[in-house]
Amino acid sequence: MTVRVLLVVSVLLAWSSHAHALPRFAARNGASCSLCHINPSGGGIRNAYGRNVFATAWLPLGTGPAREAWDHPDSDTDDSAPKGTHSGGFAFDPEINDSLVFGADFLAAYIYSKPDRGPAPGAKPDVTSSFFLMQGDLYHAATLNDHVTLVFDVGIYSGFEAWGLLSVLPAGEPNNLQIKVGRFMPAFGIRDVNHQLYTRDGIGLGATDKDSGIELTGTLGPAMLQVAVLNGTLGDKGLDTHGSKRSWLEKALSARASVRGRAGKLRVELGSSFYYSPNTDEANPLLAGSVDPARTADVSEGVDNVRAGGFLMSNLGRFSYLAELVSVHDSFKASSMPSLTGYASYQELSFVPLQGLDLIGTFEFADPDVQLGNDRRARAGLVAELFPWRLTELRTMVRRSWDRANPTGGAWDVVVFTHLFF
Amino acid sequence: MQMQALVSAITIAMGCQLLLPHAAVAQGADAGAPTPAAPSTPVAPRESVQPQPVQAQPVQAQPALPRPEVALPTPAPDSPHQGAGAPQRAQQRALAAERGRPLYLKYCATCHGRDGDGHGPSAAALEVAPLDFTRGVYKFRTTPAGMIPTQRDIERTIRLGLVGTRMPPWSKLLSPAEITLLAGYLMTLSDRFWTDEPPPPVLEIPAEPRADAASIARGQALFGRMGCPVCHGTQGHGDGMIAAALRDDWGKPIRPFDFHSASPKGGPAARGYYRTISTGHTGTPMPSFVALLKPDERWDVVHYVMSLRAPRGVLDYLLDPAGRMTIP
Repeated sequence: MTVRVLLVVSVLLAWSSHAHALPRFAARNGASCSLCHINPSGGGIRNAYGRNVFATAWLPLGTGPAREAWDHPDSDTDDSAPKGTHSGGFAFDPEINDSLVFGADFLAAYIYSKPDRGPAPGAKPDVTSSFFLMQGDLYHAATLNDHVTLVFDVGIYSGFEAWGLLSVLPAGEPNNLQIKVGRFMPAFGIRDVNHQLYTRDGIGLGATDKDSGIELTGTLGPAMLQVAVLNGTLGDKGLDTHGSKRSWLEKALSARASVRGRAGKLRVELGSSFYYSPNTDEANPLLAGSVDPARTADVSEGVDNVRAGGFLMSNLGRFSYLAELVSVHDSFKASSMPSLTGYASYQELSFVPLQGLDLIGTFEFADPDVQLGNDRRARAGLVAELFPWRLTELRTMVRRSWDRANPTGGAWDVVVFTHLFF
Repeated sequence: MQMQALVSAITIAMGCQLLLPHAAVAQGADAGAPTPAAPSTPVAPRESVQPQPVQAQPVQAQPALPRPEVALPTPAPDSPHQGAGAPQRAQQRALAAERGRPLYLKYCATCHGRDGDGHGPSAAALEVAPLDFTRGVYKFRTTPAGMIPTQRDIERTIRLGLVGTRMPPWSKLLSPAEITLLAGYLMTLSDRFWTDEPPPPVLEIPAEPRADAASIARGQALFGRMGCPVCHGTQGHGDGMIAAALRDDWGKPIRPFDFHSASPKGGPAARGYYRTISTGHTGTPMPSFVALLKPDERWDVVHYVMSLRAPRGVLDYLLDPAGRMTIP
């Protein structure tokens, strides 16, 4: 017990970054996100394995095997071996019955952020020191039969998701075709829950960027292909509201392909993503700052948004490495507007010294306009993530950002999170 | 000459496995134990196990070993059907199913399948396939090769998990009563546990003698004479001559254990090694040696193979697959 308390305290005292990337669990398991989540793209409500096995037996501190149990002379023939810290099952059970289950992600945090400079020359930096609720999602899932599941997610800040998943073969079959219909986050790259990443919010595919449409997921053993037709209305919008200049046939198209492989102890997943939304009335968020303010009206003449990227998820023993590179390109309908190109990248290296504790280093880099070359930005972070017991995560991070285009420059951020999930 | 050695070794290995249920029965009877039940559901024939012609003369090739005193005298004390008639058995089975199924559906069905056939939604993503309970064939037992395990055998696996697989040690998460309910439920999934046959005898593991240099040396000699290197390799690295061709009864490739690595699936304790050598792993090419080795000889082999376990260095620690059960 003392060891556990010391570990909790030491982690709380450590510094870390916003990398709360559960995709590293997929890399560690050598499996797709759907091993633990109902959504083939990952994230959101967990399935029975994610909820009752991985989150229960493989994540928390102290749930690993105890050597003394095997060494106990009676462990072979009776039940007098050490029992560990069993609690006799769940006191709280989110499974209402065989078909209905609910889940939640509740993330409260304390943040300290100090910019390099004040908002005006000579002014003191505006320091932020605040508790805040970072995430509050309540999920429901109804499994109607082996082929049909309905999912509903209400988020405090992130809007809602509501979709049905139809599986041609029962869920979990290695070769399958699944159809997702409703409102959901498009499948793109590494689905990191840290929406602040340059490769998530930065390119307009963050936590609030849900869209309505239909997505097909085909899996063939370790290979997966997802293709979706969507409104192209990212952000918290219900309908395609891109104005009269967009024809009814002009919809967004997204695609994500990946394949997993293994060489000895090394597990690798390679993938690529593509998102195309024609004739929208908004520039990509990464590029928006590069548009001349005097020409904002020209943007509403129409923009073709393109995002394309590749990603790598790998694992070797206790190490996992994630990397993603996304290129963003906007072509404007206004003839005098030059097209804009930028890119964003994310890298993460994690190490698991013992079950229940992850140490993570991250580095992000973005260039919102490769033609300008004066507005590059970068972030680096260190994270210590602890799962002291079931359904609970404690995370501390320190992050340093550099942003020459921002009047306040870069910043130091320190965040301590409490994440309750089931 | 090399081919002769290979054939001889294969003969012993295969002969042990194929003959052992009967050998164990005979030895058990000699020792005054009740005759164990033959499996009511035949185990599927092994697909890859090698040349059939050599099965006929297994022991003649190595006649030097005396027949051991057999240590399988105790009937399984916890067989659910012991002494029960058919109607009672059906009633007990229904009750066990009713009491254990909720726990099974919650914790086990995602890998092992709602019907226990090993085809749960998560099974395809697991590198080591979950067990099909409907066949009633278990690797980790204290009963003779090919026979059903005791309920305590099943409880032990649930309690301790299986090293190097996704089967976690549930003793940290479930109470002993819940584990008993789960084990009871698993037994309801196969007819093999619910026949008229008397329960199989249970292996008694004698106290471990001292693991001194002499015991290790004797174990090394026995390791060679029993043909273990054919699968496990001359140095015990799991790289024997036929290692690459081995398959389990389900047709899946199976690799002989590398004694230099951290721990076998059944755990790192010496008793686990002794149990495996005695009962074999039904469903795999690992035979039972209970009829060929006396208890002391089995302990010698245990001491030898455990002596091969290399001290774990930093590299081993770093390359341990995280999020998977490994024993430091």
